[in-house]
Amino acid sequence: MSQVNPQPQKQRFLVVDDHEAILEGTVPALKQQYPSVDVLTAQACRTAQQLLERFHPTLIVVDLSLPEVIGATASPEVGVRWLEALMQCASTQKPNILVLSTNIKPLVRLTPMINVYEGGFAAMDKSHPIREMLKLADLSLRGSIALPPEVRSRPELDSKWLEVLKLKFQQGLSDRAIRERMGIGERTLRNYWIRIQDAMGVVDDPDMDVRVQIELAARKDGLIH
Amino acid sequence: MTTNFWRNTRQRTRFLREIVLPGAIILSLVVVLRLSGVLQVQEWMAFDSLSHVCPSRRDTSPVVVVGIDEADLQLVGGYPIRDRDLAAALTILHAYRPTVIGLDLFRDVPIEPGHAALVQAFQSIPNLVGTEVALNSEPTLNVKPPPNLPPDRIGFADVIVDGDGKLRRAILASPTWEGEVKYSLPLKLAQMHLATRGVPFQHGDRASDPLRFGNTVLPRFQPNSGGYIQADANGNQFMLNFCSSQGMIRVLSLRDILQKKVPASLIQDHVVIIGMTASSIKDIFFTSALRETLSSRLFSTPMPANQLIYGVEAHAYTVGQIVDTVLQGTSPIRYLPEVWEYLWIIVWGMVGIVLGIGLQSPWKTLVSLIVAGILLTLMCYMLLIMMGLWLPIVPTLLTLSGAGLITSFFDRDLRFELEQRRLTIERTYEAVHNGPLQYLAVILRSLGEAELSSEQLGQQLRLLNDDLRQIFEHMRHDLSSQYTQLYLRGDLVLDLQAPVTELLYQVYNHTRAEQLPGFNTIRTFIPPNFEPLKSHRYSVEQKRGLCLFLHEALFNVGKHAGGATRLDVMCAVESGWYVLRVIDNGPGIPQTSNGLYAGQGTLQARAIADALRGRFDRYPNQPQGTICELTWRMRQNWLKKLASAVSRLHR
Repeated sequence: MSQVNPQPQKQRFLVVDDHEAILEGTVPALKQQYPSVDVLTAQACRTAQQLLERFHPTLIVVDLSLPEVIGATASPEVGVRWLEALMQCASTQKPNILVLSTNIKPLVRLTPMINVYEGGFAAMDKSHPIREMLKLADLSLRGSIALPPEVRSRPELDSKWLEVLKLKFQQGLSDRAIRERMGIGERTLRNYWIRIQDAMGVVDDPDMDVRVQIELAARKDGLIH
Repeated sequence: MTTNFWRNTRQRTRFLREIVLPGAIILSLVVVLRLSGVLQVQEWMAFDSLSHVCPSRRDTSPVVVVGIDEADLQLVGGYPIRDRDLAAALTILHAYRPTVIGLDLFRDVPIEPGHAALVQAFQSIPNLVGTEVALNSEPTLNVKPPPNLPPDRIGFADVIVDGDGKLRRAILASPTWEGEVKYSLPLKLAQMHLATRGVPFQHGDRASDPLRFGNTVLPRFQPNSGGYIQADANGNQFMLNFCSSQGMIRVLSLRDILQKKVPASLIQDHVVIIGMTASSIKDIFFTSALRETLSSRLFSTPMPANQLIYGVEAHAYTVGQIVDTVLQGTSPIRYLPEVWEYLWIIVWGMVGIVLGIGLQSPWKTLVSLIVAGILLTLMCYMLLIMMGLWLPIVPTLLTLSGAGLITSFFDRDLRFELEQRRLTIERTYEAVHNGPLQYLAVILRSLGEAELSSEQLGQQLRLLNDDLRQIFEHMRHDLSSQYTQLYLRGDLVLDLQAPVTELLYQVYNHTRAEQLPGFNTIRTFIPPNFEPLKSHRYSVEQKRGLCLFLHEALFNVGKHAGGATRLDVMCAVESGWYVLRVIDNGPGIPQTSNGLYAGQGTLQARAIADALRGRFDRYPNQPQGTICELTWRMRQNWLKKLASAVSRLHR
């Protein structure tokens, strides 16, 4: 395997689902939306993990109900455990994640982890239309968190994000100092800012400075003094 | 919350009925068995076995037996011993100055030659006690005492044996069938020996009155003493403590005496009893409480459980024990009052039940029951050695193991059943999820995206139909589970066997989704991180409590904190205490609005805190709002503690 030298510039997506029908629907749609992207597929956790380690995809689209290996019984427990391990592992290139499953409720127990995850994270019910999925893939690639109400019933502001707000606007630290203080990476902090922006309801507007808008909103809500 | 209370009560009664009741039935069965006397023989045997392994005595006994064996009989010309030889032996013994001489041979008729010499000896030896058989209802079965001895120097030789044919007690005093109170040979000997030591003997008019030597009262055997049930306790009887007198008796032979080959110190100031130890003369009883008897000493190999004990030997033990009890304070056999005996049995039964419930693995239960049984036996043994206390051991072991095992069995059965249900649900769900739901997802998606011909749709639906039928063909079970699920307001059903962090997050997420005035104004939900709770295993009940607490606390925010803009849920470990804190910045709960419902909520929170051995607090937040807090300390797993202690030692 070591002879194969993956091109670092080339973006790759990985779609993991044990049902052919789903793969057949999802993959062409992704290819159409992102023509320059290479879309890989896997039907079990083991193969998905191998592809992940080898090609470092920027986005993985994953079903929760997965078999450990091809042919084994699929169970949401396996998928959730795999995602959990994926989000906790020390790898430097963490993919953005989009969960696509008939039952996404098991994700509930991952939500605290999702809030502080380096990459973007989105989830949706499989029965929703494809265009919905494409929208969520976009959000995930952006670094946002997009969870449906059954997983996150109300928008929330993680205590880590709150810490970022305080360090920035109460102590006036630079992003670099905040990263050092909190022990997080550049991409993580960047995504935290995006999530804070989402949570505060600050929209992108070329005439506005996003950070200042965030600060104003946070002061209004009494999050910082 | 009232319904929760009732559910808990119902569960508790179910718990009592299904898990505690079987153990309690076994317990009462054993008590009934014991009361009926069925266990009597086993209790005797257990008592004998414990006595059998008691340590041997170090000091010497105050009693010496002069046993007339087969060699003696050959020497003096056979049985019965002629009066001449007996007179000679008595005269020689008297010269050694024993405190008292007991003659455990019947001399109701002269056995010539030498009767005159014997009469002479009877009269010249003042500390000689003769014997008779006096307690048989049929006069012909009784044996008269030597006519030349005054009545106060006569003691009866009657003995009483138990239902299993073994000798365990001695009759010390008894009324005869004529109503006259008489004393036994051993009691007379002890009384005269103790008189030479200045210890007076006192006894009332009736045989059952306490037998008192100085300040010591001999414990009287009662019909239900120790393991006995409705035993014949007529007169004044005394249980032999074979445990405290292992290896006590020393024996001399008649020829040693006649040939004066005995060191004087062996006899001087001792009680001497002369009796038959010849196998041709059947004056023998059975015992299994002694390691060694005069008869077993003749065998080089150890005898099996049953030993033969000569009548004279039994008398010697009796005398020795009375004298030791009075002079040295050696414990006679003592008994607990009956009520305490049954309490003792019941308490050990409860120990069994607790072990059966508390230890969730059958192996642990089994091992702990064995350990408890060994402890119990050791305890009985030590108490027997040290205090002469005879505790019930057979019924106690029976209740301990019986109640313990049956409880463990029922408990396991119940848990197995619940586990089965959980598995069934899980499997069903998986089956539904992996099959029909996937089909449905495909159908729905195609409906949303492009047009689907009705033929294709029909085919897909048929597939779905078949799939569903197959699943439910395999799963026709009753899936109602009452123990491991938590129903919260709304449609959330929690499986309490899931990890506590997952459960709490689900409660959090579900509760704040409710359309409640408090939640609608909240701009900032600070989500909790329940990870600190992960370091411990929580029981289903503890999880249920934590979930209910969180649900209740959040719900209160939703109901009361109208206008709140921020909701913090915190979970932390603060100096060894676990804290679960719900903080809002609403108007605060007015102190007076404690309707029944609020009261119930607080009560429930307190009950939850109590169950966790923790604390529940509700106090105002600064600058405004309410803090609702549950603090508790998890009991450290002792195994973990031990391991950490060991690793510390290694360092």
